[in-house]
Amino acid sequence: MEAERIAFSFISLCLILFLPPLLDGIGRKVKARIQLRQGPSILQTYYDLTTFLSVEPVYPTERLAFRLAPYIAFASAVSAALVLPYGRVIPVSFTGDIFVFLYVLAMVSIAYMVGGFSLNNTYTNTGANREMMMILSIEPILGVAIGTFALNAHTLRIGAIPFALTFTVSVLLAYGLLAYSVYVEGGFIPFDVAEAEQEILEGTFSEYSGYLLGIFKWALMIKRFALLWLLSSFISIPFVRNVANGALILITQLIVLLLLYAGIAVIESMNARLRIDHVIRRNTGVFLCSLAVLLLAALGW
Amino acid sequence: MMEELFTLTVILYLLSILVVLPLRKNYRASITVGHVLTGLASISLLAFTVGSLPDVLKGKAIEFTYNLGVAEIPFHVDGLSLILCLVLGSLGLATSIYSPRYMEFYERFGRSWLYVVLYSAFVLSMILIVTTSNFLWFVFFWEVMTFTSYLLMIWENDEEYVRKAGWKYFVTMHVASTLPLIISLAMLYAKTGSVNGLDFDNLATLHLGPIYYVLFLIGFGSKAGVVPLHFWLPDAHPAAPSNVSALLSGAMIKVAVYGLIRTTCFILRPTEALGYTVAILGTVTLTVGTLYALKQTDAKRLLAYHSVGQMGYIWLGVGAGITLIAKGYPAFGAIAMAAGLYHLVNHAIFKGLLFLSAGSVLYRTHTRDLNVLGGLAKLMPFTALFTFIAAMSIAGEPPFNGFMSKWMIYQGTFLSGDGLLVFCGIMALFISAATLASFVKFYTTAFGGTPTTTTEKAEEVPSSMLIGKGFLAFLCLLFGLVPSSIIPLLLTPGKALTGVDLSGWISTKYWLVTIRAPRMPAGGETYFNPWLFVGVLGVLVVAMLISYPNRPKRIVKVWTTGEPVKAEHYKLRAMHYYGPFEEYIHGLYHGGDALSGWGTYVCSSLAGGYLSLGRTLLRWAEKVGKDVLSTGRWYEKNGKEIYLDEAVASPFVQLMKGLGIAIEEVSLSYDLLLMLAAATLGVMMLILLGW
Repeated sequence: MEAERIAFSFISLCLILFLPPLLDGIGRKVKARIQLRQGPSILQTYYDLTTFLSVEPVYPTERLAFRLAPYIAFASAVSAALVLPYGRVIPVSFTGDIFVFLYVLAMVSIAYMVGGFSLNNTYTNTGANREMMMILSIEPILGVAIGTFALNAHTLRIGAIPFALTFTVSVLLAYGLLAYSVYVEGGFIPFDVAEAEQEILEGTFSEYSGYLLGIFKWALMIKRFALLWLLSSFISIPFVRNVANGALILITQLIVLLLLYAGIAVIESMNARLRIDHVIRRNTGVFLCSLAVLLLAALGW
Repeated sequence: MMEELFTLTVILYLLSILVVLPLRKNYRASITVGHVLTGLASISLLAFTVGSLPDVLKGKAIEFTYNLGVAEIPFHVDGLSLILCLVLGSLGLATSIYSPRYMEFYERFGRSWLYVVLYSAFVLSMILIVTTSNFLWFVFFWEVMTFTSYLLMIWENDEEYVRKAGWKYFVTMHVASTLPLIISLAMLYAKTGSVNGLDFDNLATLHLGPIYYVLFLIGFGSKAGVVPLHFWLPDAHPAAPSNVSALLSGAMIKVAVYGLIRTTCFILRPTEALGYTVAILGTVTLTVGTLYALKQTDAKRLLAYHSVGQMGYIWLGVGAGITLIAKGYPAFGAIAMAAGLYHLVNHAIFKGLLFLSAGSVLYRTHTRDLNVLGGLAKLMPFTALFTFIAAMSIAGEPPFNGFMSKWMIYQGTFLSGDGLLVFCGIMALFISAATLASFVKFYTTAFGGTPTTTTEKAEEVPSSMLIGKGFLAFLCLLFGLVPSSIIPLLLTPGKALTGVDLSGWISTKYWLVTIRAPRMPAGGETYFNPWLFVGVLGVLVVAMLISYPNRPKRIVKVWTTGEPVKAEHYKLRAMHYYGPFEEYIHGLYHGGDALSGWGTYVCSSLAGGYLSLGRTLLRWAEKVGKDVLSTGRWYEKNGKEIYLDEAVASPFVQLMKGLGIAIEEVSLSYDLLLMLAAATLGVMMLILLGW
């Protein structure tokens, strides 16, 4: 059992660190194909990352907040991903709670914002500003999803919710809300307003270079991975919850993750970036509708 | 043994009042000596708190009586009182260390002795409120607290806005806080017929109607700044000197929460209706307070609005606790109530620290406008670090203390199995993001970027101010990283209320917190281990720093897309932060403004009535008023010799003496209105004691 634990923990750490660039590459390939392009190799993101990581950065300030932000973002993203279930194993369980997971993951965004606001640069400031407004507008929707799960499963433990859910209308709708929140928090098109390349020079990233930029981009990819792994666990575990074999569960999680990434690439290729006020309006609309889901859950449906 | 430490605290506070009078000619010496004594008193209070802990955790209470000859003050210190003692001791110590240097900023106003007298009377009254077990004394000390806090608030009385804010506070408090309490006092007195009958133990045996719930909710809600009775708070708290703001926002509004729990849960019984009311009021308060805070650009006003918002969290936790206890989940209800109390302690600490930080910035730059501040992290590195810790604490980021209490509030609401409470929890989660937004703004506008023309000459504040702030920053980390240091104490009020055994529901082994909720499936317990989290995060950061060392060899200018732009024109100002979001929810602001306007209207019309009542009372009590004034004048002249023996005679004489001096002080420099108010207060006190 202990050997299995260690093996699973090792595999999951490798997945957390090295799978996200591949997933990004797959996404790029799918998008290219939909747009009838050849597209880069699916390993392209690895190439980009290694290039960034081998270049000495140029510093626009000596401020610690700016210099440490990429490291904090990276560490938070990995820490958050480590508390998710991989098969039947949680690699480092400093918590089992979904709120702790979300708050630790939010530290990636905080690092992004504090880094961006610590400079006298309108582009980094704007990127940070938009990131915060994105979080503000999506938080209540995420809250309704978690609230619905909690009303149904009576637990907030990530590993226990999918095992304890009874599938009612409200729970199915809550899955939709969770997926929507994950999509928006992940900053996928059309919600990539904070790191908009063409518009605000990638926001906070415009002043980062070399391996600082590399670490930061890596951290964002790991953040997306963690969010989607959460969703994929929630989707896959109810189907395989009576299976004792951890490896089978892990493989199911992986397959669902790949399908989610492919699906996201399809949505991304069909959309153009929204303006931040449009994002806020849309999210508020979704939130108001989502209150009906909460009402259903409170009534036990 | 423990009661001696408590008595020592009281004596030290009274001593600071006496000692400062002979020193009144020397501004700095009097304030320093006064604060050395208040600092010692705070240490003594903390020692009392820690020393009483073993007994209190076993469910016992410390009881003693002060016999003053003319009257007896009974005390009953249980877990709930001790939580507030901890807050008052910690904040009192931090402000005592911080204040001597900070008050140099206000040297032009003089009156150092009056400041020390008011400060000591203010803190002492709060300590006595949370420990006395007689309702008459409770209301009496409550009134002393309101009055002294008012005089401290209008310290900068040459400013029009300060006088206005103070007046708003004073009138609102008397109409909406003191009046309901006096009415309930009168009704209870009529029921029991004796002062001893007003002991909390005795009141708890009475059968009391729902009107008391309403009176207490209004009385304590207005003091706590709960929407819609919050409109005075964002004006009043920033008007005071920052060290006093720290006590107002950190401690005084917490005393109102103490009052609410003490009266509605221990004297009356927790009911579902009360629980839902408190929780919903809390939710409305946290939403309105924080969303208003989001658009503030004045540092202290922003903090004051957040005090409203964070009070909402406390009320939500306590309300959820009351609801769950009344609904028959006593153990989980006790946990939810502990969550609210946890946030009470944490808010006192980080909000105290934030006000002291805002004060430090004001001390060095003479401004609190976030639009013109900038780049202070480089010039005031320690202040920046402490502010960052406090900002992350209030924003609820792990592993700081604010996260632990918010996390427990989420557990208490989301796992309650009650749709309405879950909705309250969702709003709390959303507002947590808004708090984060607001404090990212607060920190990055003042401390981020390059120094502006306003801040370029700023330097770090003196070390004593840093030590005061460092102590609070340390507590932010302690209560976040070692939750087991405080959670057992926080659970005692819930335990005392319900009498259930909490083992199996919540455990705080070493660093780990595990919580169980009703109807939870097997293996569904939630837990958090802050140390392991910090360990993982730390290892990852260090590993990356070793792999990719971070040493800037040369600094280049930021990229301005080639345009020659000045640095100060190339940064987002505080007022432009989150513009689209604020624009989107402007409807909400309109609604809030309308509510606030309505509140102000009600307040001012009540103030009219209050003033005419005051005038009538003043006419009746002209002679008494004159006596008070002449006593005050007499003491002014013949100060030293006669002070001591009078002081031991009775705190009432002491108070009247202080009041007399204060009235005289007021009558010299303020307008008639204020004198009238002070005299009215004196008359109210006389009526109170003439009973």
